[in-house]
Amino acid sequence: MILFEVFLNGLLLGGMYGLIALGLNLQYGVARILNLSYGEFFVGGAFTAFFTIMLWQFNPMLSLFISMPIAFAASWLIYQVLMMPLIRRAPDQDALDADVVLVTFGLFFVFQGLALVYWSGDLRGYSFLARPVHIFGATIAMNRLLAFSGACLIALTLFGVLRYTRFGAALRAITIDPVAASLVGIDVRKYSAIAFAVGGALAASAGMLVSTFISFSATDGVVYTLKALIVVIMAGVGRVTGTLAAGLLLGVVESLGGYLIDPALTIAINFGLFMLILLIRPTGLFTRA
Amino acid sequence: MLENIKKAPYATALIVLGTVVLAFVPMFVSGYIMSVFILLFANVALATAWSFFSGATRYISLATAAFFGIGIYVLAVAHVYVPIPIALAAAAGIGFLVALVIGLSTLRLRGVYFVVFTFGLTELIHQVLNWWEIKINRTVSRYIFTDISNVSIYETLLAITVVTIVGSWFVSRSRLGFALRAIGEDETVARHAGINTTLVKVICFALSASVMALVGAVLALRYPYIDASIAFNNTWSFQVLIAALLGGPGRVWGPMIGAVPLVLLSEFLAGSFPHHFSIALGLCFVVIVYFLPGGITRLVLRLYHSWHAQYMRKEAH
Amino acid sequence: MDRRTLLKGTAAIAGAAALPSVPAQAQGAPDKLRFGYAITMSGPLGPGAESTVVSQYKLWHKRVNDAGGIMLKKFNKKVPVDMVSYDDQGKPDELIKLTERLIQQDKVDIVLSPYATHMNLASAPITNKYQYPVVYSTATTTKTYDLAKKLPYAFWQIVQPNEATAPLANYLASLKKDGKIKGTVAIVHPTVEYGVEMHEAFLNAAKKAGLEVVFSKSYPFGAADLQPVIREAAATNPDAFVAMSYPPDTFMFTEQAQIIGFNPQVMYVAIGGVFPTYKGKFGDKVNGILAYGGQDTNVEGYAEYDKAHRAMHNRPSEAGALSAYSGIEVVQQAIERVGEIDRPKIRDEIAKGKFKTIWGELSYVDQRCASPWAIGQWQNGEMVGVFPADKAGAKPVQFPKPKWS
Repeated sequence: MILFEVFLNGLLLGGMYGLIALGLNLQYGVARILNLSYGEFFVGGAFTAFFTIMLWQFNPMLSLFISMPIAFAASWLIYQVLMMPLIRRAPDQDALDADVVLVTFGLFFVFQGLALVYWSGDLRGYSFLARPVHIFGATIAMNRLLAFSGACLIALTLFGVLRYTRFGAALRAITIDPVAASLVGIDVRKYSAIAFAVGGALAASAGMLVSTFISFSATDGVVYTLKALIVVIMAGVGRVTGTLAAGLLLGVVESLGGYLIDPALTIAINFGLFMLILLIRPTGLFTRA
Repeated sequence: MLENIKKAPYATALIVLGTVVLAFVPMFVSGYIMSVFILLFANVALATAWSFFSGATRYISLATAAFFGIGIYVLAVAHVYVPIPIALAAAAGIGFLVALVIGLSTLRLRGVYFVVFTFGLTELIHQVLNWWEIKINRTVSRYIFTDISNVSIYETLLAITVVTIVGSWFVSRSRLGFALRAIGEDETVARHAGINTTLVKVICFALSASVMALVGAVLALRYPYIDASIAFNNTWSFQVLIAALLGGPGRVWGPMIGAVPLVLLSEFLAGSFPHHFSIALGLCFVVIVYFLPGGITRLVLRLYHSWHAQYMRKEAH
Repeated sequence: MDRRTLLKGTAAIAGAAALPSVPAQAQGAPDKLRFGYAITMSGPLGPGAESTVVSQYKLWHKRVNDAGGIMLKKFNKKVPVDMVSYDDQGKPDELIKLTERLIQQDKVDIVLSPYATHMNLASAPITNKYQYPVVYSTATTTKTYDLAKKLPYAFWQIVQPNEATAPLANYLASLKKDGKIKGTVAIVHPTVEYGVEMHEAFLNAAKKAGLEVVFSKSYPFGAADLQPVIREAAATNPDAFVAMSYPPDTFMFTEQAQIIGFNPQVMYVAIGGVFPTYKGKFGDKVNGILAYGGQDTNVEGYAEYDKAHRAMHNRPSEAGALSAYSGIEVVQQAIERVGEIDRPKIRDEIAKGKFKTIWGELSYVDQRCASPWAIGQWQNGEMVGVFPADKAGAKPVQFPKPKWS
């Protein structure tokens, strides 16, 4: 029976991976910005949740009403003010990536520095929904289940928007080919900015949800940026709905592998799987090659 | 080789003079300044080795930390059994071999997929090595107690750096260098033009890795204690990438021009604003990208060309 | 000689005569003392460094300057202290370079300890080379036993692996002898040096004490989900669950044990178990949990320290931080006894003196702190020291750990 519980834990873990990565796939897939400061928005969401419950004694979920709009606005500004000049002057995607990497890396340093100055490097954690949920004899944590549900909800919403709305169609067009999209009259700049901003807001929401069960500190940003990047690459850049699936696969294999082989190898299995998939499908699981 | 020197007499003289001057620096400065130089040389050598492959072929690798770490580890294990110079050679050799294997298996990866794959490599090696050490040796740490002085490390790194830059330069003017750049421009075309892209890519990736491993091994002589998380620190990969991007692509001395100010700027900022160091450094990056597109190389070249044009005009009168 | 020169010369002589004669004692008294440290302020070790060490350096700095500075009896005056600090980013290269910078460039009078075992070990040879006595406050490794002769200027403040784990093993053995438990133990540890050494030390002690180790696994530091591990451990139904954990895993194990309803009669977590934020997260549920490190809050001077700490950092102190703070107290008292900055003499004073600090009365044997606190326990919401049981201020262990509902 432990095996079934381990499998469920793997699903929940995978949901977390997918959740963390969804925003970045919007930012890189649609807006074509490889945002190395992505994790800082995650950390911002986590801290807002922490202060909401520890300082003001409110339900940390309410912090989403603060952190998501702020993350949305800040990301939107970053895109319009900092990224647009780079996009305009870059001759190709490679050159743009190079510039963007440097600038967002710089932003990462700035945000992390500010976080350290104002919030110090202390480890933070709080208890929220740290209760067991029993499913067919297995026990899972309610807070992890909440994060998993959040991941599914967001993925479903994104899927719905992308598939069934005109806005979504425009985003898909931009993902496939921005030049062609502009030729058919889509305001690439406006939609990319929105996608980028939504990505930032999603990062903050992921930060809030994950902070309910994992302790964090001001310097965790880069760790989550890299976790997100790995899942994005594994799913395929721009495959927004595939992101959750890729995350789930990663989580389940990591959990089961650790249990069946050796828990000391969980992270090795995580990276090993991701690299193996790339070797078999070099442009990600869900990209039509 | 002689034609190369004849073609660029000033550059050659500069390199020789620079090397000699730097070689005598330890006699006049404190241990701290020597440490700064040591890290400077390490960064320049790593960035140049990195750019040798990644700058030319546009395959951006984040595996620098992996090979650097391999170098540290090989030295830590080998120095107990063999003399240091052999241990260093072993580090370079093993780095080369590992890179060969990795290079052969990652042929089909392009762009950001290759980038993230190489990042994953560092973590994977780190985790597997940790697990191995615990299972087999029941300890993750290794101790390195040697009597190698700071000065020896300084001179060794200086030598490695100079050889890397000069070697990189020679290759760039050779057919191999041409092949590398052709791959960077358009790999499909290069292949159709008859270049064995597989061989070129893999060999150059391995050469670059062996230098990285060697640098790691030399630096390891300064740490009394290492374990896998110290040896495999991703920061090195990012630092080297940033240095090369700052310096600008296209020239062999680009990475050096990027690495030197980066290291010195970090040192200055850490001293003046230790707590706000991050913020200041980040702002510097943003400023540099906006005002120095194409990296510092482009700025230097522009200044040089405008100076040269003015000089020619004066001569004409 | 022209008029200008004559005037200048007269002015100079008049000026010199006008200066009050300086008494011989105050000559050479420094206006400021410079203390310096390079420590990890970013990266995965950043939080631990902040909570355990940096916060203490800042607090001590404020308190010592508020009191006027350190008394140098050679000059009969109190001299305030300047602090120089750098971020070593968790990289030994940076630490080595920055330590040299502190000594050779900034010319500090005293160097303070960095954070984490491997960083302490990287720093020690350098400070020793330049003859700077340093009380290293965050190194737990059996290497410290060998280093006394090689590094006479390095002092090691906290408990080492076998001293940290033997009391636990012996305590469990005594419970077994009294028939209170069967004597089964589950151990887990992260794949980092600290975890490995603590694990090995405890394994040896457990074997000697006749305990039965029913589960022993390791996990990578930074793992995102430890429930499979703890579930497996729980399935072996051990009396004691011992985790040689680092702060993030300490927090995670505790939460996941509660969620799956795992209630071992004895539970031990390592680093982070004494953090106020640990109690902040788990509230009453921390009671009965044993942790690495300990303290005695009845020590003279602790109450004022606690008050000042809360005023500056908005939170109570943690037991691990006391080792860092007391380390500076030792250095300060040594300086005061020697009367001036004479580092070889300060070193000798630390080596043989007795020091009253907020961590109790300290002295060093072979440059290692004699009988430091090894294990503490949360009792009624307070972290108290329980082992070594014969140390002044040690409280009896509460057994069993209250069941979590």
